[in-house]
Amino acid sequence: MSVSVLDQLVRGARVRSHQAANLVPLGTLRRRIRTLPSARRFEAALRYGDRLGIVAEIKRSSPSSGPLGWHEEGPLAAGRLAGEYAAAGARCLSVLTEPDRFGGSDEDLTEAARVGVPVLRKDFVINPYQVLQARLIGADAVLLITRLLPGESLRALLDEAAEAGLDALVEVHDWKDLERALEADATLIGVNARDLRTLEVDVARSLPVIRAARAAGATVVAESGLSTVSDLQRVAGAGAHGALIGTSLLVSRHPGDAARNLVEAAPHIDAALATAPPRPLRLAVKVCGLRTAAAVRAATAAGADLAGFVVAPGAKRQVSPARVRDLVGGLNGPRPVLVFRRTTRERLLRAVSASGVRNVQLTGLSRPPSWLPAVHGALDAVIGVVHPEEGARNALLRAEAWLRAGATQVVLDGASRQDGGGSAGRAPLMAARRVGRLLPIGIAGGLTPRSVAAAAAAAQPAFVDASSGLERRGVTSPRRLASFVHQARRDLLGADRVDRRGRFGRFGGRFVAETLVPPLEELEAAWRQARRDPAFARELGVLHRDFIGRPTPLFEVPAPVLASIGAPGRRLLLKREDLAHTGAHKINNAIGQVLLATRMGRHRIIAETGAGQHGVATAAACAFFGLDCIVYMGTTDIERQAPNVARMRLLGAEVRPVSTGNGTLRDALNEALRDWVANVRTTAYVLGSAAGPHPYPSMVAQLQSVIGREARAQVLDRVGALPHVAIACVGGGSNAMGLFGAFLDTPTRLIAVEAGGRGDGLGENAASLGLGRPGVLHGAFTMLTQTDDGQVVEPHSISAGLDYPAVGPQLAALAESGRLEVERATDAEALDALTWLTRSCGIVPALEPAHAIAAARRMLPTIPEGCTCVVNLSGRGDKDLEIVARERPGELMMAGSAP
Amino acid sequence: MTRALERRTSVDRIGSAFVRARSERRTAFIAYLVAGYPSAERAFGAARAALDAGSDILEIGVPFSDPTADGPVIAAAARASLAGGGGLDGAIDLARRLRGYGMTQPLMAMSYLNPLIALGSRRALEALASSGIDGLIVPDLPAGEDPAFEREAAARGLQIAFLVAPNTPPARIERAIAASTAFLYVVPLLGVTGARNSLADGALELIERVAEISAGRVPIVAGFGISSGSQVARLGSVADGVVVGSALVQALAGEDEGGGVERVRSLVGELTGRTPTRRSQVAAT
Repeated sequence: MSVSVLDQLVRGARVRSHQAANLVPLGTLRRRIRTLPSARRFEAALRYGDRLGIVAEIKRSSPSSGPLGWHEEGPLAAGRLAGEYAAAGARCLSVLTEPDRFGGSDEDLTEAARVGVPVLRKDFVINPYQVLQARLIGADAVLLITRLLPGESLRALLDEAAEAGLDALVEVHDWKDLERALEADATLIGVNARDLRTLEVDVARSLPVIRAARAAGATVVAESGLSTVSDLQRVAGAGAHGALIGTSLLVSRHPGDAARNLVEAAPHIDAALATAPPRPLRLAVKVCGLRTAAAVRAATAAGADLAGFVVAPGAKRQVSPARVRDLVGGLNGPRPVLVFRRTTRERLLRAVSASGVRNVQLTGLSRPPSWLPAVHGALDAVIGVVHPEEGARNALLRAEAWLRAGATQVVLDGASRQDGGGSAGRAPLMAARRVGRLLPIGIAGGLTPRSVAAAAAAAQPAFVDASSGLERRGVTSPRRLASFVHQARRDLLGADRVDRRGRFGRFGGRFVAETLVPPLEELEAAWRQARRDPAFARELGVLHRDFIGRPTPLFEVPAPVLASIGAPGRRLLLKREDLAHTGAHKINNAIGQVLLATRMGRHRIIAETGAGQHGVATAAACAFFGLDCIVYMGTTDIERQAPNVARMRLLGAEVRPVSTGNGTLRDALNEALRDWVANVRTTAYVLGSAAGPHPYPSMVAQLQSVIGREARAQVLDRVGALPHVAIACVGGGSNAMGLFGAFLDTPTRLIAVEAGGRGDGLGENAASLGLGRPGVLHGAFTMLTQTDDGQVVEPHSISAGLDYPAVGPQLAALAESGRLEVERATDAEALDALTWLTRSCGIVPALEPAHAIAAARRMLPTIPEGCTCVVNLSGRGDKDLEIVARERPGELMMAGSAP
Repeated sequence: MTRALERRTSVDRIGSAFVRARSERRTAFIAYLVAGYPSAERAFGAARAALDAGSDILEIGVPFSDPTADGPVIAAAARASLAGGGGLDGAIDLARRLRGYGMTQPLMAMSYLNPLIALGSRRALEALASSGIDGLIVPDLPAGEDPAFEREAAARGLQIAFLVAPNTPPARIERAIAASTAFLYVVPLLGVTGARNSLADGALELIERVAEISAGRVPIVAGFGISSGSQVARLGSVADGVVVGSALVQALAGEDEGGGVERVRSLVGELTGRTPTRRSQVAAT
């Protein structure tokens, strides 16, 4: 286009972005981006394919061709076309968001992004706002036109794109453009055969530019003037990975069909790698430079994924391969790695044989050794090390060289040499972030417990590695090691901790009547203060020991029992919260909240209860402290858990029946909230689960965390390793958070088991995590069983304690971030599990944890032999005998008596 | 673009209602009814009656399965409405019908947060705005807890009234005032909705205190528990508006067809001190 048309487009884009910035400022965009999941990998999709990738474009007109054959109005039409392109096999999509000359819109892109194929925002991007905006409207990549970005601005926007987690397609036309793009460290380059000034297209002239870009190691996309199969062959022959095709598809009314023809005829290409290596689900943590048995024990206890032993002669932390063999005997969980420096093939093989360790890391080399391809078959894992000082593109090329030579992982060392502060310090992390968009890479170099969380957030690597950062006075410190692992595993979405606004990720909060805001703020402040007060901790400790009977034991289900259910060789450990005073874990929370209430000078205590365990626990605590206790309980629950009602009354509590609704836990909670609203000045509300408004979810989780702390230590002591799986039933989530909280920073799988009730239909179960949708109930934004129009559905479960239509917000956040696996067990399965455990071990679980036992029984045969599973036995089943008698009458008959 | 321009450029019905009431030297009267109670038809009749009889603003309650801020009368009405198929859609229909009928008074939707976000807040807010609703009251949304929601409501021209209670500290009162674009809803008692026999202790002082902090920035409205003319008169001496809810909803309970609507009409007339005017001679059904 003439200079003036291009100018107009740029000016228009600038105005659009300023208007948008007035409504939503840049800072807000940055904040929102941090909560988004990773963008799809546009560049990787093209770079690692064995055929030329078709990038199909959506626009309604262009300055060069005027209105196009396809010009259906509205974003939904763009979405439909995107679907057709994807079905036709397009590798990626390009969507014009420029409205004036291209007929595009942001909404077009958002709709196209729903299809699931990586999407490029094509627009005239000249400022950071547009880059961030691209991410928020759903783009995975953004076009940066070199010609429009003089001086440092190209580099600056490339960095912005990297920071926002987007790929950047840097468009060049001629040699000058290409030089600037490579200088700016672009990895993905689009060679536009069209001169933007004259609008003339010359594919032949673009071929040498494509060749040069490819030779420099970039991922190359050919743009403009491509319509036939022979065009595709020409650009593929010159080294392009992809071809962006728009006009020639859109002249027809059915661009999808035209796309299919081109996709099917796309020529084969040589890719840097046949496929990108698989990306691990979770960040792996390597602790390196271990030399002592204490360090090895610490690595096991902390749940590190990899433990590095430096065998390089003359190295500061050197240990001999024979010594490694000894040390590895004490390693249970983390995989050992031998770390070499500039070694020879013979030395490597000798060390592997002497130590028995088949994982190696090769440092100090500028390229993979020539003997590696021949040797790697004899090894399990090979970690290659790259230094990123020469920028992202060169780091990418070196990493690919390692992977081609047989490495299984690559780490960028020195990627974190400067931690924090200043753009110079961030450059290596940014390089890692950019390479990480293409390959799963690790970062190492100067990482410490204090710096690793920020570095991992910035670079989003596949694994982190540290050695000097773990040491004190030249020796690996177990405390620093544990802290490093813990910090490295911090959940990027924030699900593992509550923030200042009471949120876990996007869940949680304080959605309550204004009347309750001051008492909740007061409660939060009092709790924060109490946690820091040694006197409170001491008093609570005495209550744990003498009133509750802590620590509770860890019981191992006998091996023959496991063999009989098809799981020989596995270990099943039950955390006996059923042995806590009052027969369930609820007491841990009730005693803590009532103790806090006395500190706050409250004499009237109210509580809600479902199965009655929390009610009994609160009544017991109030009896101990001499406080008035009122427990709200649904009339349905009063009937089905009568023994607990009697206990509460005997303990001196007033049990107030709640008959509204279905007379279950949720109605009791509603009534308790109404009571609190009317009596805030005199009353403390002791909430029984990890649900409700902030600070209850985090406070209850913290009070229950004693379960997990004890269990982790007990399992390590008994088994010598962390458990592979931890399982707990989930109603509100207090016993689950109690157990899981101690394992969030380990590789232990966490499985939440919800009440599957009678089936998966609405109202037949209480599976809010598994079958529910996000919503607000009882003060928290969390997962609910609800109708489409936001009415909460009465759940069903045979177990009163799981019969709750919502779930604690932290569990919702953990499930969303993928840390938690969610399953369910039906009423029938829970009953079966209850009777099975009773008959096989002599322990009668409550119906609630029977759900967890059911899930454990199901999954034990599927995990490898030698694996350990810990289940939270959150309560005893005496309260459920009547239900069992009714549902399983056969179980309660005495031998010899008539049916 | 400033926030003012973001709002619908149509007349600020809510603000105008308070201005008119003040110029007529009286307290604005705000009636609250539950959409779909006792039925969609009778709720429509009752709404028209309440407006004809002198209500300056009508609050349309959206029934919710878990109304933790409501006492037995409104909670029961919500349950009955839900059982009859009521919900957010029914409330939106009611607003649309009232506008279609020619009612020009301001309409507000009073809803718990969940029905408003179940299908995405954008959808619900758009539907509310296009049905003729002028503003929102969300009793379980404290000011500042969800700034994105407040922005989206403002972007669609919906004004919000936040609540303050006797135990709300000055800093939060200030926050609620700053965020309220409709009026400030003062609840002069610690408790849930439901008619009380007399004003709570300190009710007048609370309203005066809040009015002082507001210094005219936003109209001050008192609600919860008001049912008698004398309560209305006393509160009216310090507040710009009063809300009567449970008493009207209670009037609709009862087996007689049509009788409920008439009771609403005469109760509103009595409480506003005016004789009710009728739009049509046909008895409300």
